[in-house]
Amino acid sequence: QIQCSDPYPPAREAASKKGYNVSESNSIVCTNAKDAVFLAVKPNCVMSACKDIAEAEQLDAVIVSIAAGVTLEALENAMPGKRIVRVMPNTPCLVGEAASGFSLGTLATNEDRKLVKKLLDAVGVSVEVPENLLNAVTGLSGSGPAYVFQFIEALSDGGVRAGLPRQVATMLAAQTVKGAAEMVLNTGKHPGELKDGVTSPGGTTIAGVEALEKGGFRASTISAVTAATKRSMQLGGVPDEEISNRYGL
Amino acid sequence: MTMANTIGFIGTGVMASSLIGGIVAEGLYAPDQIYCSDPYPPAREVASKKGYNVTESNSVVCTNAKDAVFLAVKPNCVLDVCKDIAEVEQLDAVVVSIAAGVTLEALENALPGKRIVRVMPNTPCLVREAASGFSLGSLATDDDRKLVKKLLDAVGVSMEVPENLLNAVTGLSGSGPAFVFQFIEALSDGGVRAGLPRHVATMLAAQTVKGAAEMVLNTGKHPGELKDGVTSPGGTTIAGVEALEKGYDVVSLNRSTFCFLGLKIHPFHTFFIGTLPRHGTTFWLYFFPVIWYESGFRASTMSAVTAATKRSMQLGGASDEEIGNKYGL
Repeated sequence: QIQCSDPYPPAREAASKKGYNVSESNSIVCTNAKDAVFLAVKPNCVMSACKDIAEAEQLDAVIVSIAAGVTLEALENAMPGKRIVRVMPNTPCLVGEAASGFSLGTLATNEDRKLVKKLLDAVGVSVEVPENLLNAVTGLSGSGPAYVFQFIEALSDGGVRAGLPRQVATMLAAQTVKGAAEMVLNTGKHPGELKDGVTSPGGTTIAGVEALEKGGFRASTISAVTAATKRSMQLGGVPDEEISNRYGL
Repeated sequence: MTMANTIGFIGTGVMASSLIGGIVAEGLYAPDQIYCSDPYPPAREVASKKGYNVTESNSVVCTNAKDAVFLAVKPNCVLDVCKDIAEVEQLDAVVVSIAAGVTLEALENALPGKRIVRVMPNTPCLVREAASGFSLGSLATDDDRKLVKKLLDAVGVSMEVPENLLNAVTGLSGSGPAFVFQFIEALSDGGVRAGLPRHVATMLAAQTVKGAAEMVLNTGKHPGELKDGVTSPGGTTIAGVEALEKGYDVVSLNRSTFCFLGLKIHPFHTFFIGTLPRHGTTFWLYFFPVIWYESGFRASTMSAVTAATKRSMQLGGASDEEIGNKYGL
């Protein structure tokens, strides 16, 4: 039930082996896909793909763009009359643990909303946001994995500094990060409350928390999210004046 | 594959319940193959409702548990419980202690002749995503090793380490969850600062952390290589990474310690360095922050792990001298 197109023959071959219907033609995909068409090309190729889509008159599917930085306005101008949803997914999609934000275009319906959410939830979690918040989603969950990789590497370095072999340290670090995040998602408790629950008086954990606080760990983390958000706005063409006056970043 | 025999748990607190839950969910033992004891009647009732064999007596657990007996009581109660275990002559199971800070030596002295394994698990055991380190006692066998690993892997991942590294495991995976909670809260704060509603920010933050950690575990790639793979030139992500590396924007002079020539100096310390003879003018040297240490995201993260490891050693009775000289912490 999957239709895909790609200009690159080895990519088409790989898709074909998985049993998908593969074509070189974007128009064929649009003719055959009844529920949704995902635009999954690089941002700089999106507009030319849109031309092909705009020509497919019988296309009744919702168009779902995952191209970073391409606005609903640009998409709607390029594909008049089509129903569009814009998505900001993230890299852990590769392991079925994505965190995605999505925004509906002006013509998209409630059915479109439900379908897109269902599809995105197959590879992780998703949340609908107004389009003006997609820069913030980019700064947080879009760019966030890199901050987590830095965190894991540093935890591992700490473990090696404390005497553990590297592969043990990295494995314990990554699993600890995964498990603690799962606790936040699973229990629904405030992270501060969870932190309170694991810091016994005068114990090892609160000694570690003190070191984090001394180092301004949380301030740097906040700065990372805001710096990436700001960069996302700049790349989207928002002038620096607006970024600082309107958004305060 | 369900085991043929039985296992026991002395203590049915949060960690024990999570362990049992995972073991049963993985199909390793059926509920009626579990024996547990607890002094607290409501705890026994909860365990009973789950179909476990429940008793008030530690000895009964030890008599019936053929494969393993978990010591899951608070560290300060462990040695008392050991008295009950030591009396059970026909106990042939491996004794698995999850009590933080209680050494194999102490356990072996309290339970002569018993095979013992010491485990440092962590709180995400509750959601079946534990990271545990374990060490074998002097009499424990290879079969004990395999069984314990199998049981611990029912609730997450586990690694065997020499006992002298359990302090480091404590500092990293034992205490680590708190560092992650701080990280997630700060990511969420960043999201709210950038305009997201709080519940959206916290959910995206927690899922991002979970997903990225899964990528490290799943791909086996170096975290630095994964970071390279997601930082496109001049993009949003590398801007965020720069901010992490820089540390925070506003220098907080009144909260930090500075290091100059190996001396810890309070901000604004001044030193008198001399007087001009004829003019009678005194010269003072002001020390301003010259070198930061402990600050910066990665530096603070490393410091957190080593601070917690050091505290673990202190609680275990290691002298500050030994911690400084032998372990360099």
